[in-house]
Amino acid sequence: MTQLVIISIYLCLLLGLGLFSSKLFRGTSKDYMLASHSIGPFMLLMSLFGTTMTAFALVGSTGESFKEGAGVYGLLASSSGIIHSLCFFVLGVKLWSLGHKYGYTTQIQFFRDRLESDKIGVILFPILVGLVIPYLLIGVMASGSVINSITEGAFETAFANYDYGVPPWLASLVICIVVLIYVFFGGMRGTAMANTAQTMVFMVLGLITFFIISNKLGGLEQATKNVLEKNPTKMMRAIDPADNDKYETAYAKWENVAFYNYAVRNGKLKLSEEQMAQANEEFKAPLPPFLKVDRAPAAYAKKNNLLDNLTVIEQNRALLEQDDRIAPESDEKLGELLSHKELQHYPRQPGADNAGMEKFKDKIGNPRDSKNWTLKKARGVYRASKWAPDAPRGMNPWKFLTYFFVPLSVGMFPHLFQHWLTAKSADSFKLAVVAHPIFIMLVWVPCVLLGVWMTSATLPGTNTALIPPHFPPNAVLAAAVKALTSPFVGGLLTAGILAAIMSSLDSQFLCVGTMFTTDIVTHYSKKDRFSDKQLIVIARAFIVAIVALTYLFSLFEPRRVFTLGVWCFSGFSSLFPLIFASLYWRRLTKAGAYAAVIAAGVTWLCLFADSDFAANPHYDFLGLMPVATMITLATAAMIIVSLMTKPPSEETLNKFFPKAN
Amino acid sequence: MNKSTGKWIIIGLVILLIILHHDVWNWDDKEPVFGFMPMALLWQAGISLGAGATWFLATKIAWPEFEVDEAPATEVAAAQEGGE
Repeated sequence: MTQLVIISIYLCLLLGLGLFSSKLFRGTSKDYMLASHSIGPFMLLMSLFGTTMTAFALVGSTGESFKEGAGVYGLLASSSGIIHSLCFFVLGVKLWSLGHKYGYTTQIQFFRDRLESDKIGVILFPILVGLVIPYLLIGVMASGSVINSITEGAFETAFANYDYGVPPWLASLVICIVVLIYVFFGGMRGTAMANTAQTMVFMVLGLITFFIISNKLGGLEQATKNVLEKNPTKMMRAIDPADNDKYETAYAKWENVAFYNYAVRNGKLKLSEEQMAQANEEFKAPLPPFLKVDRAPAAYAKKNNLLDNLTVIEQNRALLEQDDRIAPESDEKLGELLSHKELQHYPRQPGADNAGMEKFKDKIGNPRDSKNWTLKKARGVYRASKWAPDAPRGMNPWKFLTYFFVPLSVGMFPHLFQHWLTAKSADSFKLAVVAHPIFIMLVWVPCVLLGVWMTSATLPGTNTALIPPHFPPNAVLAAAVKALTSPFVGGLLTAGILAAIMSSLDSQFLCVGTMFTTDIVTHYSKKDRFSDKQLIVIARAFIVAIVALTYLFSLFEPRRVFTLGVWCFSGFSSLFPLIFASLYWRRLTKAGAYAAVIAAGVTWLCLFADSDFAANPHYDFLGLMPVATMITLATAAMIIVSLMTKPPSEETLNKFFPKAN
Repeated sequence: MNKSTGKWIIIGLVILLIILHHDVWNWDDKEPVFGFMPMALLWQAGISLGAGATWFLATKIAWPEFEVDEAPATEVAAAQEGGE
């Protein structure tokens, strides 16, 4: 309950800040959308940083390093430090200058002007809004999942289906409403002020929590030593031979359990009472009864060659059933024993782990009593005890290299474009350009270390894993905070996590409203058709519609925050060649721009569908990140078509590429 | 130093950072540095510090100059939003 009270106080403070900033609101649409170009260096740095660091940075990075190890920092954080500032420097300052000079509010206004094409807005608007929605989805989903995890047991009897905590759908809804209110009251100025405050909150609270958790784990050195002993692969980007040996042994045992369960289910084996007694006597591993129940007889059956009568097809069906995967109807592809990798090509039955709630129903209860299991734990134990063990995974150096393309997305984020235009002067960018990589380091290093430590941490004074294998990555940070800190600190850090999430959501909310009013409503209506006040109302209505749509999406099956984020960023990155060429390549033509947008869109859609709509977190294309293919094809299409078509007019070229004095 | 030379120095440093970022020589190094920091993390944190230093230099030797007051900021806004 303490956590819930702290979160509620924080949300109220935020609403207060929104109301305060509304006092400074000048009542014009320009002030609402761009804060009248009044944002100085410090607020620009904090709002740019707060906007780019979202659930992806805190919740996603911890969860991903829990799954993939310390190399996760190199995948996105250090490359972002280089590329984000590069984008601020190469694109942001120049776009700010053009925006200031020609009065742009949105990217589409700039593209329409630069490409001498009105219709480019019609094609770009749905693409940009369509890509902002999954970005919003990351924040909305993560806020629900974090609040639910941290408030488990807050209620005596209510919300039993959500472990007696605030349900994710309710938490996400409250967060959306709070952000909507302060964005509505304060516009861009309120957003920038809230971002500045929230960025300071999540950075300071994040660092404090990091040191509290590392102390609980026995100090920095002990926490890392545990990883070296139990999961050395998580310390590097190659696979440690010891981890590989451990996995192969565990996988062989798991195969045997799968064969045994299949044989029993299909009447091919039934151990007598004497055999069962002997199996239990011979089985020495100190496992809980629910694991021993099939491990012990499976080991006995193997030792006595009782499973040799299974055909290869039956063995494959046994593996698929044990791993809760959808088996093919025909035996055609099951003629040879499936490897673990081949097994993973078969989709898993949706919601299969819900069986854990039935299997462990006697243990489930209100987590206020520490003996009780939560529903999440029941599902987690089910996954860890029934499904195949995770294979240790290294990082493919080519994939690592091509991850570099992902942070280029910053160049095309519409909400960042809008933030760039709020700057008071070009010099306001300097602090953001320099400090951004350092700030990324301050936020990501503790998160990645925490994720790595959690792979091997145990509950204080026990040998029980703090976070079991197959634990949902999105919930790792919240689970660690809950288990290792006091309710008060847990509540504060949750406020910090929510601060990071909301400091991105607000800019995105504001941006979609601005794009709709500027690029669609005022662009296609008669001059003076709408007053400033009406435009603000229209912007707010569109924001509510998009937030409602995103909220509905968030109620479906959650994906890994990191995976979803990478797909969303890849889409924006694939449009990077367009913005870069618009500013630095005189020869870019309208047709070349269309070709780039179409090539990027079609490639993104094809590869996204091929990855089973982000369900496969390890998807690659030709051994590279999909974004590499998207950028290559978009660039090639843009260059070839531009060179084949008529160059832009002299007037446009003089406007955007003035000759140096 | 003129801006053009400054720009080339920054381009060179960014390329160097990109090359150093791809630290294949640390791929299978699991030994922690300072007793707790994975090498894969420490090296990349160093890249972040290097990026900060590079961009600091960029603000000193390659920062662009703009004549921002040469035109009113409302040209497009007036045309597209019905004026202010």
